[in-house]
Amino acid sequence: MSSVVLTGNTSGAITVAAPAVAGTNTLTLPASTGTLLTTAGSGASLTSIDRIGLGQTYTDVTASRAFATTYTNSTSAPIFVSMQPGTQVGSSFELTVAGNLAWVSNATASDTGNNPVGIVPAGATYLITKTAGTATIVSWRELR
Amino acid sequence: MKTYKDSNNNIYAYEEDGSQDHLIGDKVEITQEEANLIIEAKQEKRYAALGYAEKRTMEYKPIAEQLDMQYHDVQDGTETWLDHVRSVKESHPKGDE
Repeated sequence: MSSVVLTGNTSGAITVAAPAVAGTNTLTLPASTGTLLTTAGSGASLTSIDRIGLGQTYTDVTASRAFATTYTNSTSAPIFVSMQPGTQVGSSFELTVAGNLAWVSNATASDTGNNPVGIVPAGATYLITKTAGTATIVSWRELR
Repeated sequence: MKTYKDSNNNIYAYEEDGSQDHLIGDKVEITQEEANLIIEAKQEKRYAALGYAEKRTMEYKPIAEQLDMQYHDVQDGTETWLDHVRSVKESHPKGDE
């Protein structure tokens, strides 16, 4: 295994080592100044960057959700939204995220595959509109 | 959640704890009942704009239920399924946009 040792100004050193496996890999650094990864002080450890799924749990928010009402993801990470209607037959829905159509269905005679799901970026608004039918919200869960 | 509407009657909901109050702007707080009325009115308007085919699709029973109708019709000599389809088609005639 080959490596490059960067010796510190005072004491200590950082060793950049290639893995002991076959093949050629490239680690490209960004073309700007910044801190890539630290465990303390400035910068952020990769494990603490807000991203979907990390440290999140599925939460039942049915009681506080309604159709055609705009909500805002005020968390610092993307969330995942999933709504289960009472009946999927003859109903259709739209999921709008940040003003853009993210998911859409048409009225259907099938009883499956007609439940809106989607990811909402941090800070974005979202709403589910019932565009046809008489379906009610049976379950609305968010990974947040 | 606290419910608000904007000047275009779009409905918004914000956390009760005030953590999203900075997003309210010039929206007006309304009751959930008022929000429901606005939403229902929008849905009725949207339904009225649908074509006959979409309205029919909304009213047809689930496929599994229609298959069951057809089975019993064959078994019993009835026309339940035919009556159902005929009723939906007559409720929303072709060309009735």
